[in-house]
Amino acid sequence: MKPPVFDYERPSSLRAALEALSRHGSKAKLLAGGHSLIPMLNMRAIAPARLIDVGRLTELQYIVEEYGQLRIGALTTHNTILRSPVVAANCPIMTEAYAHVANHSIRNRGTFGGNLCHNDPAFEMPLVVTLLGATMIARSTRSTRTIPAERFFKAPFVTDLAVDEMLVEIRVPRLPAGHGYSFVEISQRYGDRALIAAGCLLTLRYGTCRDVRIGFRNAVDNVFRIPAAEAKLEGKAASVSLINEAAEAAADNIQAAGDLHADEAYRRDVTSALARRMLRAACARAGLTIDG
Amino acid sequence: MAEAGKILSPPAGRQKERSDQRLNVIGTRMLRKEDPRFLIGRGRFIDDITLPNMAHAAVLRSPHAHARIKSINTGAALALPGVVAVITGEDAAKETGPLPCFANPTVEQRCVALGKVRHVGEPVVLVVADNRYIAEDAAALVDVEYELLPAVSDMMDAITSRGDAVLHPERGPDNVAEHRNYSFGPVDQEFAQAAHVIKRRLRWSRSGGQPLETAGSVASFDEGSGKFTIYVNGSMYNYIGLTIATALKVASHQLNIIPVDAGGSFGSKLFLHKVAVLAALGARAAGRPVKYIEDRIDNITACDNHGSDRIYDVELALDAANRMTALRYKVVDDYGAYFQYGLGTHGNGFSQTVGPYKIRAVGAEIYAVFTNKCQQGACRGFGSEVTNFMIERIVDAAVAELNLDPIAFRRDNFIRPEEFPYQIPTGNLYDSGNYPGALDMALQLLDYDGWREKQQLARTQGRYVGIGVASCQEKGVFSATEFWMLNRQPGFALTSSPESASIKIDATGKAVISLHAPCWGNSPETVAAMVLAEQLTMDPADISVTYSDSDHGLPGTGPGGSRYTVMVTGAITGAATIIKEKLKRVASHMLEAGPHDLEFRNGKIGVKGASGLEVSITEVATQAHFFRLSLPDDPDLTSGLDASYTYDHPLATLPKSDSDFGIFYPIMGHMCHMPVVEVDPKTGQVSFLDYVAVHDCGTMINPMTVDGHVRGGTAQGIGTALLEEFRYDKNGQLLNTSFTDYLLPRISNLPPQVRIGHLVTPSPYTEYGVKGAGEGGRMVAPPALISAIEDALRPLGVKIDTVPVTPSRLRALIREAEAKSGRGH
Amino acid sequence: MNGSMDNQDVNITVNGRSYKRRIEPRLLLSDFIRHGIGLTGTHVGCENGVCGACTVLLDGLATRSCCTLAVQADGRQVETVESLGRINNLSPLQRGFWEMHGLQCGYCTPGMLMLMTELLRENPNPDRDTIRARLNDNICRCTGYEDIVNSVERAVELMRGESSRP
Repeated sequence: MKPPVFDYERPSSLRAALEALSRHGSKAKLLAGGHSLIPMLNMRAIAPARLIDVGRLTELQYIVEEYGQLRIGALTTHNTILRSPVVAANCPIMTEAYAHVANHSIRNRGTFGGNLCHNDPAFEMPLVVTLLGATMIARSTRSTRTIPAERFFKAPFVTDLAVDEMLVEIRVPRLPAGHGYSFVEISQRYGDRALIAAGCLLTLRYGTCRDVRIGFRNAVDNVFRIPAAEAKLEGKAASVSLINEAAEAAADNIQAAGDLHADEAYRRDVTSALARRMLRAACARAGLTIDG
Repeated sequence: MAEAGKILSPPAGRQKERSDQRLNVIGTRMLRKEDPRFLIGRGRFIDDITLPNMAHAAVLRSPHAHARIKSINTGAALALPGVVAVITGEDAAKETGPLPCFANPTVEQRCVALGKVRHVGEPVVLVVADNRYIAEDAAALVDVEYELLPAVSDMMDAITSRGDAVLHPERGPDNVAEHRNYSFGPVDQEFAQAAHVIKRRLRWSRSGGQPLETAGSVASFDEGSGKFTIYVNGSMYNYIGLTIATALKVASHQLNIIPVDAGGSFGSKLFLHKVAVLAALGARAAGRPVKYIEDRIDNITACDNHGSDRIYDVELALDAANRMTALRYKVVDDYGAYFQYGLGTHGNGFSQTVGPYKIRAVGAEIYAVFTNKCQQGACRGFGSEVTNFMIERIVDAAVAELNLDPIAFRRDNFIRPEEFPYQIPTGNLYDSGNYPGALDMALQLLDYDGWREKQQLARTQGRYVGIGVASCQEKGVFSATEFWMLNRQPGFALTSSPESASIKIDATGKAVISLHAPCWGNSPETVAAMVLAEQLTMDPADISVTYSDSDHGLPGTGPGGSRYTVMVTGAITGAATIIKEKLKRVASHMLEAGPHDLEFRNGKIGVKGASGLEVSITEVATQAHFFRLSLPDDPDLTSGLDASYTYDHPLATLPKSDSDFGIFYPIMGHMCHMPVVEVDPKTGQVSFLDYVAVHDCGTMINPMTVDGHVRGGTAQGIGTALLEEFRYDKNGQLLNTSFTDYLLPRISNLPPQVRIGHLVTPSPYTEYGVKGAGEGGRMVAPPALISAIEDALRPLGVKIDTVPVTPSRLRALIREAEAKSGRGH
Repeated sequence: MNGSMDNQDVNITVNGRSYKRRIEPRLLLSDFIRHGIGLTGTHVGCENGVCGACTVLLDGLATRSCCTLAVQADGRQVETVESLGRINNLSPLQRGFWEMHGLQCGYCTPGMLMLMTELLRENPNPDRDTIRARLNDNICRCTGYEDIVNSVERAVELMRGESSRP
């Protein structure tokens, strides 16, 4: 399991990286942490002609707090984000989700941007950034584009990036203090691929749920948020029965797929079970304890 | 016909060292001799071996499950710079013969597929290049034209395969490798008069040892002498290594096999013929040494050591007093594409086919079928772990259906401590045991009653907590007869399975032990040093251990079948006895006392009852080596101080007939495991609340290493029960070819603590009364864990008959049970 | 596409010693360490980042060397098991593993030692749950992990007693 031959360059700046991308485009792959890319090379699942190593572009490693949002450099490593008190204070769902991302050793090297661009259907962060309503900043020698998360992830392993574009920054809106959040995951081995991952966000205003966001990952393909589930709670006072309805709506509306590890019926069952658990947890964090 | 029951005239045995003597070294938690080199990263594993001018091999793996090879175009591969040789199956067949096979009639397997591929991953071309990267590049350039044949993936389909779907047409018109019927004791009679008959269908899916290190070999060929030198991380090179010479078409003395440290085996490195022959084939073709190391995909798809893959229909007969009287089963076992060990894994099961119970008759119908999958080999338990699963599941079924207590039922059916040695219906003998004692120890360690109370409380809270029980046997020390006794015609009816040790004491009193079998992580150096230290009252620090290659090796069957500790203890004892005799003889001259008046004490030899009259072993050794003329002029008394000893199986007899296999696996360990689990019914996930493991492996040489095997084996058993399965689709494509999808247990999958109890019933037949301990954990954990999960879900009426029971499968069972009962989750 | 070519100059520091080599970009760090510079203590189990046997420290961080190109380590510091201790001077971690039977076949051991070296540098006093959580990174097929946890706890005791590093 050794990689096939490829050419290699290590640009020393973002501008140089973008120029390399514009020159080699579809024949090149960006190398960041490498812990998704290199296993694929070892298995000879892909054979890019060129690797452009951007792993040392410190200019893209940052977490900046601004009014209304966090700006996270695409090459920030997972462990940096997991340990960041700024992220924990502003987007605690990200911190909670990060405990499930791969394992410590992989998080030492894997990058936030690399993970999002790989868009493996079992990866958690695409779901998290979509729930958060994040915005991706993509740059090329031609332009800088702003892409909302819900348009960024197009299909498993496919994003909206053009072949000469690089994801450079992720902008995450800060949610109001005291918002409810929860991220849960089921896997056969802790730290491994999720069988189902689930996240939700909501805010409580005068006892009713607002801005409810409910989403799942590895249910299938690329559908993250489930509007039918969200609608059950949006604008309403949360209760056990409404949470159950939302959970059922989630299970009914995900396009669950069976694979080697879990059949379709399992994914539906677990979707509904996880939805119940996370909605209760989110409500509790928002200050509303649901009994029963 | 062998009648089950206590043997009234038990065999005398050859035990010299009793189990009830005072021991100073044996039984202590001596730190391992193996550890220092591994701790500093200086182990000698196969990929650490580098020879000058060495080239590297890779195989092109078959992408198809079943196909004829129509043509192979190697031009582009050969043209790649750095490529040394590209070898097809036809090329290989000119230089090598078929790989070794214990079945009779044999089933032909080639190191590189010849004419036909029979499973995904089978080697189609061997590429040799300057490095592994280039070898893989070249393999990708080889152009193979295949004619697809129907792939057989379902074992039941294999029984009725015809025509092109038949893997080995020379063997018959279908894919039935073997179909045998056995009847031990009055099976039909017992079923006819049974008060109750319990039936279950069970499924044991295909998993495997999957050690962290794959198989590999480094070979060189000396054209001048025509001799091969092969490093390989396998075993049995001092037993049946000459069959590799045969495969390489050289005389047996034209091959030297050199062992290396193995990064785990769990049976899969028992006899590595293919990688050795591939490396050697490459070396002869390339004119350079060649290294071939399987990568993980090579290993998962083509290791030749997948585990048992069985469907059982089993019935249990009980009398009116709820005593089990007879067991009857039909089993279909999917052997994959080849048949290297014949029905060995079923013969193995016959060694303990009644478990710890007084079942007096057993009937078995066995189908072995060929399918387009990697072949089975050896996997910790070698088939008896599946027998244990079958027995304990049917026991649990009887308990549930007859509304009995799982503890009392087992206790009432156990063979009693006073009934040993005990003969089971197949003719095998159980040497010693105390099954009620093990059960009681487990109950006490667990605080079983306490957990039953907690379970009641948990149930009122809507939680699903379960307590499992399994009482199982661990056979130790196989006789070679198990490999062929189920063949219609025996074929090569091998009956030796010895183990040797060679000991030299040098002139300064330091000892070097040579072992004739490899290190798999099973602590052979530690065991050997401890036994020698005990025998000679030496300091283990004055003993070093080395490993013989086959040129210098004595007969050594190697680790496997929980035999090595017993057998090497016997070999060391035998060699040490010879050395002790000589030491005493020389010392008697030095002390002017009779040899019978001498004893070993604290590294010295002295006159009994006279504490001042002694000489150190070092002084005696110096005398023996260097001062011949100071000793009597007796031609029998030679200079030097060394001995070798070949220890044969301490208790084995020939099979007498198909209903009496004689004694073939008598050193019988026993385990009782009690897991406590909680099941999340909505997600099918299982977590551990407690885990007790009681093991009886007779006298323990080193309790620390025994505990290590108990925990490690239990972990593997939990993996087998919950996580591990090779998944082939209906076209014979293996869906999980890497560790991403073949799931080995991580720490989070396992109980935080496995609380171990030791019960000791020494063997009357082995030196010091040692029994085997290497396989036990894996042989009992699966039924124990399934029992616990079933117990947890008892309120829902869930029955589990398949391993692994993944979350998805468990959730499906729960959903089904809820639908039946009208309750929802 | 070109054939394989050694066209990358690297300067990688391994265990404090600098190695200048000309290598292929596709050469894995695990192969550079094992075969390029002959330090065979780091082992390879799966080559797709799952088992952790190949774990080394790269600039002090636990890293799977089978998922890292050697060129990515250019100009950086690598630490392998060979840096931990010698036969006559084993580190507390190595001694902990020896005393508490933290290894059987020894194949996963270097990876475990490096993973735990990183942990104990971060946190010289981890509790059992913290040790267990971190050990979830790596696979051992022989021990069932419990003795490895005990070994790390013993190492912590030894370190405390000696006021030493892992």
